[in-house]
Amino acid sequence: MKRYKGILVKLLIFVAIVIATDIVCGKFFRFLELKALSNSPYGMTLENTMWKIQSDVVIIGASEASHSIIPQILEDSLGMSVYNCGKDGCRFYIQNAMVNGVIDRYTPKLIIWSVGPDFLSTPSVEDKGNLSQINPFYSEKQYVKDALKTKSKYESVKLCSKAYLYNSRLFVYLYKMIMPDYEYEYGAYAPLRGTMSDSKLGNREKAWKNHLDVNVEREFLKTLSRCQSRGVNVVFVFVPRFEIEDHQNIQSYQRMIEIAEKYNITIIEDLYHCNDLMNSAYFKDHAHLNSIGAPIFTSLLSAELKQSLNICDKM
Amino acid sequence: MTFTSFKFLLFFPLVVILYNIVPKKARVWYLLAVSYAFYAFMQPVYLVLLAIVTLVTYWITRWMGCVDDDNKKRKIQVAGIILVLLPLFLFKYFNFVNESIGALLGVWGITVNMPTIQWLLPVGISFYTFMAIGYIVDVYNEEVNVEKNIGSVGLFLSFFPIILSGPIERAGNMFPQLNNLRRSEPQDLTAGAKMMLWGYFMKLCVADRLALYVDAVFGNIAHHNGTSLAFASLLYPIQVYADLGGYSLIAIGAARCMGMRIIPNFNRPFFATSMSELWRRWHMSLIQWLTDYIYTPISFALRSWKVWGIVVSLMLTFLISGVWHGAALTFIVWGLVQGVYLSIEALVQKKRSNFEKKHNLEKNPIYIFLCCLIVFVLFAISQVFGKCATVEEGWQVLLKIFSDRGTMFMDSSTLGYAGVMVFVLAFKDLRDEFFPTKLRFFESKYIVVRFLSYLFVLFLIVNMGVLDAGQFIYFQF
Repeated sequence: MKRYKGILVKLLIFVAIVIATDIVCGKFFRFLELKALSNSPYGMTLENTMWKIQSDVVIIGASEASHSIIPQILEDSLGMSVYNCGKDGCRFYIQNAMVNGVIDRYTPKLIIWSVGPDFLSTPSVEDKGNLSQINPFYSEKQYVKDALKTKSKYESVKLCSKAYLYNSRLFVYLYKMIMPDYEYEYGAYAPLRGTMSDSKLGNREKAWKNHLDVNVEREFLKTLSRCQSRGVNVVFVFVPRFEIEDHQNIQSYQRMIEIAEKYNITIIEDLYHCNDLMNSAYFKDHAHLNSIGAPIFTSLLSAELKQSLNICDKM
Repeated sequence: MTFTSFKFLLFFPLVVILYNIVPKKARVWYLLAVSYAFYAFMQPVYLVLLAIVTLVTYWITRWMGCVDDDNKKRKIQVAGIILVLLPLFLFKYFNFVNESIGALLGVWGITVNMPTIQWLLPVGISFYTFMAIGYIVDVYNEEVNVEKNIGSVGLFLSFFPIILSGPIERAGNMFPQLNNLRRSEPQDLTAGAKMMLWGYFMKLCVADRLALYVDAVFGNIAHHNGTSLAFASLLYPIQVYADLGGYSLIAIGAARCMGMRIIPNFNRPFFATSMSELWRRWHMSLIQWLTDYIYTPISFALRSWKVWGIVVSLMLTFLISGVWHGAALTFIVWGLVQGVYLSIEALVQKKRSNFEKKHNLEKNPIYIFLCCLIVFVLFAISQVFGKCATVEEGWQVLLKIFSDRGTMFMDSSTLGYAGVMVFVLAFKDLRDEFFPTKLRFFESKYIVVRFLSYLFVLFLIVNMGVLDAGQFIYFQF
């Protein structure tokens, strides 16, 4: 035991230094995060949503939302402030965290939630990997903890490290501190310029995952109950896709219809395969409208919102 | 349980602590139990196969040890090799061979429904099979004594740090250590921990980060232009080096923590100035095995063919290397390309030597740099076949690289992190290669410098490593 004494003492000292450094790292990254947020609010969509925005209308979704729904058009039409919280690659759990993050801080008049037929299906491996984007909010929000625990059994142990909370965020913060939000327009709308290449025009058939994830469903119901109890109106929107598909028999879709009925939530699905929009010139790829299609869709959406919700009367 | 899983980080320290508590006589059995438990975590049913291969190896070598007649010994050796190879053939190559026969018969208009096996490949089978064969041959050649302790034989083939992805150890190196397992000295623990730390950095920060980009490009070849494919092709060898090299370091470090010395597997391969030198630095344990058990016997048998004997030996050796890597045409093509490179080198070796001497190039830094670059690019080209799913896809990639220019696919965050990590790795390798006594961080005599360097690497791993379920490229071998 004596010959291990030296190494044990050094190990203990090293562990103490690691813990202290970890705490300092956490504070440093939090400082960087806030600095980046103040310089690039649109580029720091998630952080802006969780900490700052106070818009009347909040758009929640993944890339199809951020590239297809134009806040300026909705603002002019609805007469309310609008912010697009859509973020590439963010599936249910991140979107769910954003909605809860918003209603924790204030009561928006309307949440436009961009959903899809497989919205309630099991997140893919990539989706779970993307969950690390909400790591920084781990210690503040219970629903973030619940979401992150779905990644792995030991995630909560890893998240004890402040440096791990900000894993792979350093360059993002540094970049956002230096570069302006050139790729975004007002309200965090991110236009996709250009049209589909000829090679992408070919195969338009889409097969959906036919699976309902009970954990996703449970969290979704919790969130909708919170929205209902705070008097927040929610609308589900199906953003158009340039695909040939049939989702009527998908479990996730059928369950979403049931939930919408239960919570008296309007689903705007007419525009999903609207003839006015099914033009390859309006799409950047099969899943995303481009900067030509997005204004057309947003105008149609605005009309649908006004009609479906009698929006001027309700708000 | 992979090395990067949380379970292993809990499992390993416990194993080391108990290893040092257990009485010396029981250490082999203790490690054998731990190794089998480690394997059972992944594929419990194939533990039986591992045990069978162990028993066959043990029995064959004991039998050879009792036989004096060389002819009979040779027959026992051959029988042993066939028996040990049989599971590898069945699990890994049976379907491929049948499909190939079916395809060949199809060329002559004969349609045959060949049977297939739908079993999962036992993890580590390629590694422990080669180790078993090496031991059998070494006993036959009387290079090692027959090991009478079945526990030692079992542990040799199942030792948990090396069973999944090597290094491919030798009986001559392992048995003396296994038969005299000593407690971990403090210097073993620190040296082992340092190796493991650097191995985790290579795997989590370099390999897995590069994989995000390389997989994104190679996973969608039709949609990426030649420029992106070229860049991804250049990154791929670095990814493989960091992946397998990092894994090997973790394995070597883990063994070192228990006082055992495992053979190294990589020796800064991108500083090689020739393909033959690359293969003396890359996956060294495999190449050494192939050299000793395949290349040397064949080249000896063909020695009368002179340089052409060397060429044939090289082609056969690397054909086997390709087949070992995977049951697919792509790996065979990959192996053959390596063989062609080395054969050309063998044929022009004298001329190259004379040229270098004549122009005094051997120590010329620009010439050395150019040679390293050419070797790297040639290796990267061959690795395209290792990465692609089919040979046609490999050719498609190479054709696109030379014909379809365009804007490179950029993921600035991934490439930014990858750039920093590769720089750190390159810095260390450069220092180790050219200035081994300078800028000593991990080995500094000042404890403050050592602690700061461990802290820095740990920070890189925790804050910039890809910590979401990465898999070793060599895992399925």
